[in-house]
Amino acid sequence: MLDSLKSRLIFFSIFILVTVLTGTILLSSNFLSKKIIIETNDQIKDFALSSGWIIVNGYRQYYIDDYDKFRDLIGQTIRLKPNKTVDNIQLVDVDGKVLFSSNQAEKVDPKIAPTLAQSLLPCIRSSRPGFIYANLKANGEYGCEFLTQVSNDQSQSQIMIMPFLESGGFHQYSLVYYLNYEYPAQNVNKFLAQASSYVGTFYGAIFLFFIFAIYFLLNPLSSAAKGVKIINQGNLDYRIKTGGGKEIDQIALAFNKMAQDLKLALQKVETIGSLETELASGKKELDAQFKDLQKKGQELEELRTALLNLSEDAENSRTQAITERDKTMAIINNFADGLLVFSKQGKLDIVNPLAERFFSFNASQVIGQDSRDLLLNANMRPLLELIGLNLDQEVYRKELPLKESLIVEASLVFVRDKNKEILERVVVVHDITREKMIDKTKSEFVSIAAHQLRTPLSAIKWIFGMMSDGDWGQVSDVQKEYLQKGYISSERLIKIVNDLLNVSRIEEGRFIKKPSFTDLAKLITVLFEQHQGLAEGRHIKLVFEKPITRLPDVYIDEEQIKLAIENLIQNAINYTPENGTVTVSLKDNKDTKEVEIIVKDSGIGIPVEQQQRIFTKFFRSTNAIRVQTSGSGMGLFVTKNIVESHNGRIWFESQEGQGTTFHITLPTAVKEKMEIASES
Amino acid sequence: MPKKVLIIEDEEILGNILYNKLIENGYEAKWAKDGEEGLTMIREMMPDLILLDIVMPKKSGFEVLETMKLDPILSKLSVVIVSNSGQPVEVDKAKSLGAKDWIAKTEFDPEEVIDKVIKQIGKS
Repeated sequence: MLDSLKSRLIFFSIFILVTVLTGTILLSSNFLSKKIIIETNDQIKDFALSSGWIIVNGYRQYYIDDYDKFRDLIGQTIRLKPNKTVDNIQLVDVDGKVLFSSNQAEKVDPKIAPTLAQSLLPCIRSSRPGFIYANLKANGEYGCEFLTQVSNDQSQSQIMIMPFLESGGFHQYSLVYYLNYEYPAQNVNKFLAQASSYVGTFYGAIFLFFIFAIYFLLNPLSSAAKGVKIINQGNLDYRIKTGGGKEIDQIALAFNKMAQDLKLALQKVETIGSLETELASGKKELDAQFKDLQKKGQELEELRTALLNLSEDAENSRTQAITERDKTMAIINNFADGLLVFSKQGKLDIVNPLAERFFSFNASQVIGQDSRDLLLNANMRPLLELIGLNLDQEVYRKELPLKESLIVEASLVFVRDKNKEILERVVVVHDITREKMIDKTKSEFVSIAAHQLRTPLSAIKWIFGMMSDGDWGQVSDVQKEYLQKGYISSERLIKIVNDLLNVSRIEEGRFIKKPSFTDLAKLITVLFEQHQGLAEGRHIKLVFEKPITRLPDVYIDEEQIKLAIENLIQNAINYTPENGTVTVSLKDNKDTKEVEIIVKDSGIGIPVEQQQRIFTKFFRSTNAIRVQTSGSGMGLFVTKNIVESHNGRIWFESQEGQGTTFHITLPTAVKEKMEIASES
Repeated sequence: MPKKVLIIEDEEILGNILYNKLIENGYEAKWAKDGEEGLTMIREMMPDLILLDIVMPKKSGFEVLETMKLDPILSKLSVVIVSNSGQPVEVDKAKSLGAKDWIAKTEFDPEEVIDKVIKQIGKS
């Protein structure tokens, strides 16, 4: 057992020795292959700073004006080939004298600076731009081959030379890079000899220790060795047994502690590993989230732009709305009529200054009140009584005396939306005081004028009449004939004056009716009899087709309807040539509850193009003027107004040269429904 | 005893014609040329019938009617309006003040006026 142990120990010591040796070699080779660290070298720095070098590098030139830049430049150049290791960089002059070396082992003393290998001198003296590559030959010398690029062979040792000129071009320098450089054998041997002397000593001590251990620490060591083996196999939970003496125990404890530490360290490493994994996946996730966020940010930005545009549009719309509102308010405030606008809910919303003046209140006192609140205001009462408290019926231009010197026309108009729903109720109050005054004056004028005209006319008429009747002595036939013509002319003049008076009354709305239940057949019979003379005089046959059965009564102003029908009969007679016929008839239209009066003639007719204007005041058709020059053009205007004011209708059919038929309908009497105008 | 008719009419020709016509027809006629004179003559004459114009100087026909209406004796006298006006309101007003009839001068001849007189108070 001891032999086995001994042999194991010997084997182990040899293993240790080999391990240490391998470690030493690995250590030294690691040292040799350590990447270059360019240290701050005052010499280079001074060089660079003082001379302002130009480095000839390919087709580029660098002015070196500071050391950091120079160092960065070196850094750039050594990154040219990542698969090559730069083992050393030397700065050499044209004579191959090394001015600086990055290799610690070749610390350069400027006074006794080593020189570059003689075989490389032609390379550095070449003035070719760019890098020059030299390969190490088998004889240990370099062939200056001016290769264009670094060899891809990783194991091949190469030297890369970069010549450059001092500013001004007087002195040439070169940077010499040693790629995968193997130092000359003697140097390695020297280094290894040095290293092996340390290792030998170490080995000896270890060997002695194991000899001692063989004899004194065999058993415990065996157990410890077993434990170490187990631990070495990776079982870090294994613990070496103690009890083999203080030192062995210490070793065992140390191993145990080491195993424990190792385990902890491994666990930490694992934790770190898993953390790294987590971190990596976390990072990935974060990246994704970041991208997502970026996208969202972009979307948000677009949204923000859209919102800005929208808000700009909204702002524009708002400005426009304000402008429109101001415009509307300006119109309302400067409106020539008083305006009161009630909301859908019936509250007073807007009152313009004119309305304030009409009703003697301040807008602030009444805004927001409804019609019932407003009733308490004495000035508003007449208006509300006129338009109604519920504001539910449209009112059109109803006259309302507000004050002694203020007469208005009030209208209630509904503002509706497209669905006919009432949005607002607008009361328009129009001042008609001035018109009323003018109307009154005009009316008085017309009355007076008519009176003034009619008085002398009646005197003339009476004189003609009495003279032709021989009241004042016998007159000759010729005298009588002219006196009668004078009498007829004065009557015609009186008719014109009466027409004028009637038109004036119609326009003033003062053509007052005194309605009564009337039998139209009776009324027309009277008219028929009155006009027989006129018809006979003109050799015209006047016919009244009297209805067989009694027609329903109509509720009319007899005088006015008489005038209306008389106008039609007179026109028919006046505009029908001799031997023509004028027929008056009556019809009971039971379905429409109307009585129809028909006046038909075989007269000159009304030209088609003038038919539309026939009811216009003072209008006379061209053919009518040719037949009779004296008509006033007011008859049909008066007739139409009378008929319509009785809720009747008037129309005609006519053909020029053939004749005309006029129709008048009047509603049959239903007393309750008749609207009776009364003078205000 | 002829029946007494008073004409109150400012228009010369019309008044003249009516006056002559009445005399011709056997009436005792008098003629006042304005409202004021008319009232004086009404009181003096106490006519059976007054033919009264409306538009006249000094006092209008309506004023004459109003004065008569307030007088218990004069209010019993018969009045027929002979005027150139003739709006329904005016006719109504005259009737409410006691006038018996309304004759529009332009629509009637003198003979027809006499017919109306006969209708009111009979022949003289």
